[in-house]
Amino acid sequence: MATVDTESRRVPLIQLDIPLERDLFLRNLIRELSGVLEDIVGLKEASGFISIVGQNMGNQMDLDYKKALGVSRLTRAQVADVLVDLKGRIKGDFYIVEQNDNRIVLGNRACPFAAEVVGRPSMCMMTSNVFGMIASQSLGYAKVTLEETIARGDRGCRVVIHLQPGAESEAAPGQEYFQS
Amino acid sequence: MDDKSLENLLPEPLLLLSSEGRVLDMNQAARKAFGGLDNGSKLHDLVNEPAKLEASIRLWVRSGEFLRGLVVVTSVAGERYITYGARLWVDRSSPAQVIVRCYVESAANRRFVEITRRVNALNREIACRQQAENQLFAEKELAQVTLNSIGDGVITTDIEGRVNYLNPVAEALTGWSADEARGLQLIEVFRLFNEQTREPVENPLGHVLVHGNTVGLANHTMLRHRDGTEFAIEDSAAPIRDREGRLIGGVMVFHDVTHARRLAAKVSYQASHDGLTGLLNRRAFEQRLHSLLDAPVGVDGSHSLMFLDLDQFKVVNDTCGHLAGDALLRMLGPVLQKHLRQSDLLARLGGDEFGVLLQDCSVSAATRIARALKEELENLNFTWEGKPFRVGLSIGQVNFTDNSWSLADLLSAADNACYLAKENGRNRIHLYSMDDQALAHRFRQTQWVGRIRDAFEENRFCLHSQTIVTTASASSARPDQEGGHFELLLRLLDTDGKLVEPMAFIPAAERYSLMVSIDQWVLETAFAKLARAGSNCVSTCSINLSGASLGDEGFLTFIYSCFERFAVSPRVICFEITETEAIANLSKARHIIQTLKALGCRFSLDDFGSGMSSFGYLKNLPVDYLKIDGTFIKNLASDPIDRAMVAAINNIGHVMGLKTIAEFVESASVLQELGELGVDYVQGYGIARPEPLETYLANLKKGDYHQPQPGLH
Repeated sequence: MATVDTESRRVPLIQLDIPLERDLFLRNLIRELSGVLEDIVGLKEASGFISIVGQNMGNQMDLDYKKALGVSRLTRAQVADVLVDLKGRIKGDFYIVEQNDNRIVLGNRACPFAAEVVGRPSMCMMTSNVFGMIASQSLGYAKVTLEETIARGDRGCRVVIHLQPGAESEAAPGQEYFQS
Repeated sequence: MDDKSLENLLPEPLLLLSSEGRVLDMNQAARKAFGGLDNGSKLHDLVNEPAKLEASIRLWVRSGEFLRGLVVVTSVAGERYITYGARLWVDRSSPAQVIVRCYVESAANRRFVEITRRVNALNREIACRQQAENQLFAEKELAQVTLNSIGDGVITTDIEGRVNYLNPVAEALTGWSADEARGLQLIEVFRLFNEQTREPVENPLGHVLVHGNTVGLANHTMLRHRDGTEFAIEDSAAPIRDREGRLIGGVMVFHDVTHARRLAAKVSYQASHDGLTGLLNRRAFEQRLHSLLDAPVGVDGSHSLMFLDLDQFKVVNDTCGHLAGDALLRMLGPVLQKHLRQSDLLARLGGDEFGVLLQDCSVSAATRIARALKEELENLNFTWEGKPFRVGLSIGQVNFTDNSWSLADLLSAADNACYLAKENGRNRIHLYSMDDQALAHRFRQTQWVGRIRDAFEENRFCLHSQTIVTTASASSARPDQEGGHFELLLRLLDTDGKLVEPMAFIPAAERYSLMVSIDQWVLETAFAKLARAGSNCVSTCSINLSGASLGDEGFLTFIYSCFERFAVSPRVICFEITETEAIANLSKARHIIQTLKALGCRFSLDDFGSGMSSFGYLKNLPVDYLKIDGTFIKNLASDPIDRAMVAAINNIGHVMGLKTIAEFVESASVLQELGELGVDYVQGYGIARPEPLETYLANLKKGDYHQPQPGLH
């Protein structure tokens, strides 16, 4: 067993209080990657890169949920539930604030990236793209507005998913997603 | 896309793709970058990894925001573009379309390209400048080498007159090296002064820097070398201007003319001074006198001119030789000079004659000086090889106070006064008076009487002959066939062996009634020589007759006797009488002409035209030839009036059945004119020079007729 000499005694390394475990390691990895990206290519470009990653992951999750539910398309209610569920699976704490044919509003109390997300708004593109992908593929259109984000320093997140292209969605900031 | 649409204004390529990646449309920049990519073709052709393009298109179809594609597109020029695509939303029912924007691979790459472009531009600029600098350097080198090589001194200064540059010649002439002189004021380095006053002269570059124009150096400018050596220099100073014409400095160009100036001074000295005594020569003396006469009359403009003639000089020369004579003459300069004032001029006029000009000198002072000169020479002890000689001075003095005198009159007056001083017993001063001119003239003529008589006694007269030819034969250089035609010319062989022209002694002979004797001597001598030579080779012998002979009662008798005594045909004899003498003795002249013509002699009217009263008399003088006065002939080719006169005389002569003769023919142009005018005969130096009669006759006998002068031009 690996040990280390201290002043008077030998202590096993496994017993050392080191903040390192896989989940934390991966979150830190993503935080560092996004930090470097933001520093080098700028926030906008970094957001673009993460968007691609988010889209790919969202696409995979969309396929996984449809397969698991045995449907080719999700209903609006299913979409809302899937979004809350998938976030819960990765230690997020999302909840449905409201939903109707025009929009789904979700709240969040905990970020899956935990404290590592603070100061890294590009990482929010993961949420935007995953939500936008799943919603648009089943409902035809989605525009995701991140009204509040823990990454930007808000206490929690508030995410609005516009489901109809129109005056309301156009007036709102955010990214649009389309059915492929 | 519409050509005028905004998309076409975008610098980056823009593509509209279908969801299969097929190009639906593109902007101008895309057409330019992706040449060959037409509408309908697939973007896959431009990428290396089509799978990634498919993935990218899938992303773009879903995204309303531009997302970076996973592939790069390469342009025909090899440039790599990154892609950003997004879904072009129309409505739910429309097929999916994707807008793709293409950017040069990275901002860094763009910057690199831009920097490279700028670096290349800068390199080109640097290369141009380098080339210009090289060229400038080469030109500067060339200018430097040129300036270093030329024989002139060159100094350049800035606008303040501080030295910038000296070339090697300037360094040598000033004694300053370029390094030492740089920054110094030019006047410290280039020290000029006037050769004559020795005063510093204004540096011309100062003028140039103030006025900006080129100036030459003043005459007699000298340059003082740093070590004190002096150089005579010449040349100029000029401004230096920049391209805009602004004055930025000056250049001084100069060269050493010390040698040339010395040479010029020497030549000038030699031209104005007598080589033996070092005194002024006659030419310079007369020039000074001329200047004095030309100058405005001053308040006390009283001057005196003296001609000095050394008595007994001939004795020194004859007994001791020319060396002794030269020594005496050399000695005289300083001896005479010490009695003259600073401003007086002493010159050797020739031989043993000297001239003195006392300018602004009162009569009393002039008289005192003349006496002092005479007394000085009386007391002069000149010895040669132990042999003492006494010499004296005959002085002719003319005091004059105004410039009404001509130079010739003044010289003649002094000459005559000096002549009279000698005639009056030598070693004396003769002050000019109004009567002197005639007196001296008479003295001289009287003197000639003795000389003419001596010449008779010593048989020192001689005859020369000058050939006369037809104008045609003179032009074609063919000898006349009819025999020798010539004029007899009288000469006197002086005691010193020189030939004296008749004009020197004829006036005296006329005045003292010696002309008849001279004419008779000429006739006798000529007839004797013609008879001896045999007159069949002579066609015409022209003999001048004086007015005195025309009026002499016994003249015809004398001529008859000549024909009797000598075997000479009257037909070869032609008497020449002058127009003026014939008219003066008209009746006797007519008689003589008629009588002698009856014998077969011919007559020629000499110097025709000079009297200008003679046309009317021509009818009364039955002559055979008109000899046109030489004064009309000399300038015939250039003077239209002379030409008209000659034409008139020639025409009248021909109308009257006379032959015309032109004398003083000295050039081919005159000969040509005479030929054109139709004058019959020509005579002059251009045809043949006079030669002793014996020689001429001997040549005639040998059949060697006149030979036209080959040098006639």
